[in-house]
Amino acid sequence: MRAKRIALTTALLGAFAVCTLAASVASAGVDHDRPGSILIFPKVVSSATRDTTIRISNTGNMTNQVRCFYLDGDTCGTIDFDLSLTKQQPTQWDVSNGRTVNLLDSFGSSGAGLDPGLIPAQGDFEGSVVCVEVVDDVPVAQNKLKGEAIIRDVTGGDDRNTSAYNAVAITSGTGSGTSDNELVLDGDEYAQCDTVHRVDFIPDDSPGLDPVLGETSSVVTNVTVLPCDLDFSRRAPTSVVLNATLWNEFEVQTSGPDTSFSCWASFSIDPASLNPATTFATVEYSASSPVVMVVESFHSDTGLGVSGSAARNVHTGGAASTSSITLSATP
Amino acid sequence: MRTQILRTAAIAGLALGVGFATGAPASAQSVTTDEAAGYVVFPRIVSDANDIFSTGTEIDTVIQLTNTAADPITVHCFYINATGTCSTGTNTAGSPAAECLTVEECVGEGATCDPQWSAADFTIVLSPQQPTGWVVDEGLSVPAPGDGAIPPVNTDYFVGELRCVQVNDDADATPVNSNDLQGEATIYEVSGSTVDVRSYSATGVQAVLEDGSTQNNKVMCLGGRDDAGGDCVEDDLGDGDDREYAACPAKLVVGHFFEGAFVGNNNSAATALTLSPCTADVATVEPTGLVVQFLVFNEFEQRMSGATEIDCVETVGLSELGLVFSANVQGTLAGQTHLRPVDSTGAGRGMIGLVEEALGGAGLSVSHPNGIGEGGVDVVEYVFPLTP
Repeated sequence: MRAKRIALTTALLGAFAVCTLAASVASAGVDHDRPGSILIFPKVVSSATRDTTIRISNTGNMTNQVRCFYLDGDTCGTIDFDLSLTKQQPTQWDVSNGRTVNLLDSFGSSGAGLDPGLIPAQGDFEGSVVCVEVVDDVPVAQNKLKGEAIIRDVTGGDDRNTSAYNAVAITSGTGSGTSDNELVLDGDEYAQCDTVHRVDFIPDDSPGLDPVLGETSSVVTNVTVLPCDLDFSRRAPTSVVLNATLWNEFEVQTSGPDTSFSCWASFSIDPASLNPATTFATVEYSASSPVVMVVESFHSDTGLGVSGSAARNVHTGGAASTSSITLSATP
Repeated sequence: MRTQILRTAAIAGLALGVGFATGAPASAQSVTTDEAAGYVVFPRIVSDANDIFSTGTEIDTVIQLTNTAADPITVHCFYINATGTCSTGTNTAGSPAAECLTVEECVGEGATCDPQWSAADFTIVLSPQQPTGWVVDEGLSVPAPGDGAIPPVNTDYFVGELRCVQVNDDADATPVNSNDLQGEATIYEVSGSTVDVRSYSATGVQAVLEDGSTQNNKVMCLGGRDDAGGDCVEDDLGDGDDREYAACPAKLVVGHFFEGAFVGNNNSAATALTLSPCTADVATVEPTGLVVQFLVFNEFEQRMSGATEIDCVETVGLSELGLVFSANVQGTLAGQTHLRPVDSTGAGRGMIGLVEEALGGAGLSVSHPNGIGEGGVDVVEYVFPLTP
């Protein structure tokens, strides 16, 4: 019975794609500018000072089922949950609190709206969220998901460490899709992830420090990286080496330091090798396997003792290769 | 047997859908915020470094622009000044350009506050892989081995955009078919006790032909080909992609909170959209007017719609677009809005944008709308030098 339902649903969905995907067809890609079938929020934080609101929208005119995973950056452990978004439905939740299913949520409250499903609260958390379009637990790419993460300052003080970025959206590939829990990001099933990323930044030992805040200031640029090789089934962390090449404003190229990590990493750009340091610089990261990145800069007025933050997505360098995301089995 | 039929039906359905969806020709080049491009747009530049209206907040923008190529490149840029100006020539700050945020800053009977729609240009050379950056209120002399001077914005209070084109040289400044520019903007709002910073990547419009050749003229065809007579026309993609640049999206999809929604413990939300038509006549600085139709969805899947007009680049708060964006009306925190620009004939046009969100007591942030579809042929035209 279940197989019948899955088959019929899949057939209908495939036929439906004639009407829906044709209107939004674009070259396959991993970017932040178009809806996709896999959404990745590389940096998700819930702590005493910051919380993350995840916002996901179904841009399609059919109900979209979504399977999401929290990936803990410390343990590489995962927790998954399911969402069901009606046509064009946006939804949101705070990572600290999750979202309950409550038909009696009051008008205007955080739970108001059609409940997308039970979303677990995370408490203290640092890691990523990955969401995949499915139909009856079978991955089916429709390219209808978009999302944003808003990392909010919750201290209530004078700091303004609130940042937002677009979810990394991975579109369907050029082939016929997948029918199992291994999503191959090879350009055929899904688009390939990039291995080269470029970040323009303000070195924290640059002359004059922050160009706007002046002498009593500092700038720290934080890079968060998640491998595109993800195994939620066996909880197997992927090891990655990032080779850094830096350029200062005098076109002087230097290398390193390189960064090695497993599973997930969030680190500050080390400008020590810049020679000399200039107010603006660029670093290019070449990864040993495909990754996604987001960057967040913290600008502090050390005289006032306050800071503000800004996040943005990272430019890619045009080099992509194959990886895979293995979903955990469903009952 | 029955299972086999079902499986066949499933595969056929999927194949039909995917096959149709992937059958249309698609250019590898696009309008993008995460890849280098030959034409980059910073749709939101703000500067009020001296707080001329005594709001208690100093505002400035830092631009970062990087050559990602292994060869030097020449870049020609335009500031488009959309700052309001008092029609009477006098504002309450007494500043020479008589800038205004609203008519309230204007002095004199019958005064109006109208956008300037003026442009200022500059040309720089960036050496291989050279990053550079500047505070828009201050400008920059590009460090060697790069070359050129970037002027400060030309009014004490400035709001507008920056558009930069990769060109052949600084004597002719005709666009080239290359995609080597990447850029970011960081907007600062500094008060006596807080530092609020938000950042976004420039929107890049990629040249389709990436051979480094020089184009025919200073008429840039976005989503169309140059007919060699200086006009941009639709291209028949069936015989190859002869477009000069990728097409701007036909529709923008914006995720946002409704106005006044309480997000976490962070007080009320307010969102501002910056919308910029892809068509731009920098030669005459004639603003491109568009009607923007919008469809708004809340978390109940309820839909409302409306329309507004924009002239050239414009920043508009969702609350200014009506109660349809009020959390008190919609009843949910999150919304999704589809924006579709059309011209005076009703034809679809291309548009890019930014989403700035303020969470009271927590700060400001920026995200990008998602683009869907292709908006037809847009034209960017300029002369060189802009001011002899």
